[in-house]
Parts: sequence; C-alpha cells; structure tokens
Amino acid sequence: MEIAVQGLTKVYRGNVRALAGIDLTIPTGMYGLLGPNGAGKTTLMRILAGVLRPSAGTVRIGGHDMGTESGQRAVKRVLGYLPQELGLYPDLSAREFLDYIGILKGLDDRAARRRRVAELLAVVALGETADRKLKTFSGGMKRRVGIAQALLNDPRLLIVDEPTAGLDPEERIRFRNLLAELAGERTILLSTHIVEDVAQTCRDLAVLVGGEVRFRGTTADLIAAARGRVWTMRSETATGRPGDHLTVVSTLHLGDGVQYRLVGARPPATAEPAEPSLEDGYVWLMRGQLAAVAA
Amino acid sequence: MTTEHWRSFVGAARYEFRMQVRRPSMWIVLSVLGVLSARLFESPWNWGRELGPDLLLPEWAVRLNWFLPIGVGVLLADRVPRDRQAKVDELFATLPAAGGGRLLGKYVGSTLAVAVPVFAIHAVSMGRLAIHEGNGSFLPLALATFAAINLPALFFVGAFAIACPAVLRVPLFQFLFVGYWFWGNLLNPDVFGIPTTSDTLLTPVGSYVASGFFGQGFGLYWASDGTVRDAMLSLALLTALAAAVLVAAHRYLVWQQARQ
Repeated sequence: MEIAVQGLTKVYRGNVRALAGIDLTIPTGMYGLLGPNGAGKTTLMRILAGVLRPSAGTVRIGGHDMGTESGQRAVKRVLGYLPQELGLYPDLSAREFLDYIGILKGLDDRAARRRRVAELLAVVALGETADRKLKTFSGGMKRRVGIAQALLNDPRLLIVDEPTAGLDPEERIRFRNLLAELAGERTILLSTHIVEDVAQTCRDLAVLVGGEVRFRGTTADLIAAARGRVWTMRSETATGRPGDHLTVVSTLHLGDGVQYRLVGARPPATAEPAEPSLEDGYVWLMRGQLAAVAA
Repeated sequence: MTTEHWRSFVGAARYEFRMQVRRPSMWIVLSVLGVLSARLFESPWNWGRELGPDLLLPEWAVRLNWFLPIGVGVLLADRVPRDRQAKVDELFATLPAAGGGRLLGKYVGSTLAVAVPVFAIHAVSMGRLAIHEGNGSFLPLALATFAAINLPALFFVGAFAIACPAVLRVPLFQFLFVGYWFWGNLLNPDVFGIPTTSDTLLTPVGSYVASGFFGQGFGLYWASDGTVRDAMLSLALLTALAAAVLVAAHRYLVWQQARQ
C-alpha cells in the first residue's frame, strides 16, 4: 500500500512550521524516517495516522484520500500505529488493554481476539506478566505492549514512531527482526533516532531536517554519500581531539590511547580511511545541512 | 448506530466499568456518604414500624439521592480528561472505532460502576430493614425504587460529569457541581427565597418520581402532590438534558480533534 504525500505543510498555532511542503512517496515494504529532534518526523507520522490534519497538501494512502472522512476510515481499518508517547490505562492488565484495543479495532470474535492477544503477548515476551496491572510495568515493558497493540489487527500499514526507545538491546534486535518479518506485502514506516535500526531493517529512507525532506533514497545511497569522508585516527591522549571541521562519530578508549572515528571533508594527516556506515552517511548529510545553515 | 459505534460502545463500556469499579477512592467516598446519609436522616428501620415499606422505601431512596450523587459527580469528572492526561487519546484517534460510541460507552460503563456501591448501600439498608421487619416481602419494591429513583439520578449526574470536563477543568467542574447540587436540589425556595430548580421537575433527587410512582411521602422536600404524569415528565426531561449534554460534548471533542 503506497503512501503519496504532496506539498504537505503543517503550521501549528503560534506560526510554528513543522512541515514545509514536503513531497514523498513511500512504497510497500520497510521505509525509514530519520532526522534530528524537531525535524517534523512525529508530525508527519501523526498526519499519516490521521491524528493531525495538515495545514496544506494531500496524503493518499493505498489510493485513499486522507483529507476525506471515508478515506480516513478506510485507512484506519488497516492501520497499526505506535505513537512516540504511548499512553496506557494503569489499572488494566496488559491482556485487558490489548483486548480493549482489539475490540476497538474490530476483532469481534471473542475467542479469536483472545487467541490473537495471547499470541502477541508471547511475541513481545509478556506472556508471563500479561495479567499484571500496567502501572507495575517498566518503560520497556510498556513499549512492548504498545508494539503488540499496533499489530493486533494484522495491519497492512504499520506506522511506528521511535519503537525501540526504552528497549534493551536484546528486545531491540527481536523487534527489528519482527518488523523485517512483517514487511513484504505491508508498508512499514519506521521513524527513529537510532540510525542502526534503519540500517538493519530498511532499504529505503528519507531524512527530514527543519520540516523538509533533505534526502530520499536507499540506505546504500546515503552510505555512498559518505564514501571517502570517513576516517579513523589514533591519538596518545584524549586531548589530541581533531579540529571542529570534523565530526567525531565515536571515541574508543584503548589501553594505549584513543581511537576516533571521524566524518569530514579534510582528514588530519595521521588519519586512515574507513568504510562508511549508514550512521556516517547520516552524519555527513547533517554536516552538510549545518554548514548550509551556518553559511 | 453503526457497527463501529456499537463496537466502540461495547469496548468502552466494558473496560470503563472495570477501571471505575476497581477504584478504591470510589468505594471509600461513596461509603462515607452512605454512612453520612444514614446518620443524618437516621436509618429507615428507626423511622417507625407504622409507616410500612410503601412509604419507607421511596423516602429512603430519595434521601440516598441527597448526598451520594455528589460523590458520583466528583468521582466521574476525571474520566474524559484522564484519556488526555494518560495520553491514550492519540492512539484512540487512529482506531476505526467511532468516538461517539466510545464516549457513550465511557458514560454507561463508568456510571454503572458507580451504581454498584450505591446499590450495595441500598441493599445493606434493605437487608437491615428486612431483619428489623422480620420479613423481606418488600424487596421487589426496594429494587423498583432503586431503579426508578436512584439510577436516573446517577445517570443524570454521570452525563454532566462525563461531558462538562471536556470543556472545563476538573476541579472547577467539581466545585461548580457541588454548588449546583446544593443550590439546585437541596435548597428549599420557600425558606431561602431565591430561584432554584429544587422541588421542580428538573431535580434529579427523584421527589416527583417517588411521589408519582410510589405515592405520597412524608419527608421535608417532597413534591408530595406529584402525579404519574409528573414523574414521567421529570424522567423525560432529565434524560433529554443528559442526552443533550453528551451530544454537545461529543461535538466539542470532534471539533477539538479537527483543530489539531
């Protein structure tokens, strides 16, 4: 189910422009959305999910116009949505909360709904705590309840905003694998700060900066953009940091010194070239943006 | 009602009932008000054996309606704002289930939940009365008075307590509601000389219903000359007002969502 966004603009009260006329086509499969804080990612996700109305522009999902009531209804029937800040009723158990959402999502057959809830609780590894009240859950457990509710109706369109925030590394990997399994005939839109999540699951992505799309293409394209711009450099002490014309992507303290991973146009004399990752590509892109703003 | 309205009504009613009935504060507040009512008015088994259940039961039902609905209104006031505070409203906005059905389900489920302790107080009183009287033949009448006098009051109050905090802040609504309750239901206009809905068909304490359906009472603020027609009209007016305020709240919430 393809998502086609044209001239999408969102201006909040107080003349705060969150999206500035973006055009984007999101094909079936996994699609990543990256960007810094305040880039407009969550606003875009909320418009696509029908929570917010755009100030201008159009959104068509699977041929349905989200500007109409009937279009919104049609999309909501096949939508699974995990908001960035998911609220839960603290006095319900995970099983009860999922059952409630299941009813609202149209899972009318009680036995089938219970089976589906139990199945998803097992998928997110909450089977043993399913009958505990949600107020006793940790942040990561609540996030997993959120993931389960998004999958209840076996959605053809899955919109997940920062899904792995608060999950431990093992849970993150399990969820990434789950998303990858779900992709195929579905459209999954993944918005995250964690570049690694996109690198491991998405072929296509867009990068939003200041409410505008600054990059759209494949992860390979973004990685390729950083080729020849990534270096590693060793220093005897941490005070030997490279200059401001380079971004330090990582700092690794070794026994006999410090190793920096750097992104920038002009490497220090002692630096050695390194194979770029998606994170390097993202950093290189953002450096370009920051330089453009500074200019 | 469409399938989606019905679905959201059923889901919300079921789970709002569960969440509300598990609130310890509800049981504490209503128990305190129940005990207060019994202490203030004395219990029906102390009113005199000669009155008989036909007079005792509607009178007791009306007297329970003096204070218990105050607790109900205060307790239900946070149901709609809670969705916003708990941040579940964003998720609900993405579901195909209709918002109107959910609001109605929230209203019915949470009001039925507060009716449970009110019924329990009524039932305990009736049990005590049955022991005192030495027989329980009046219990069907006790159920009828609860259904005709107490339940309409709870549903009337519940509608305003669910609807108004969509617009007003919860503490402000609670303050205004308590003020309204004393002014509009308990204030005797003959004594205080100010306009009030007390002792009119618009009062939900049930005096017209009591006298119209169950005969003359003997209490203080009774519309002792109420007829069956008055009782029907009073119930119809209260139902219409409750429906109107819920429809208005639903429209407001839809409008508010559209503005986002």
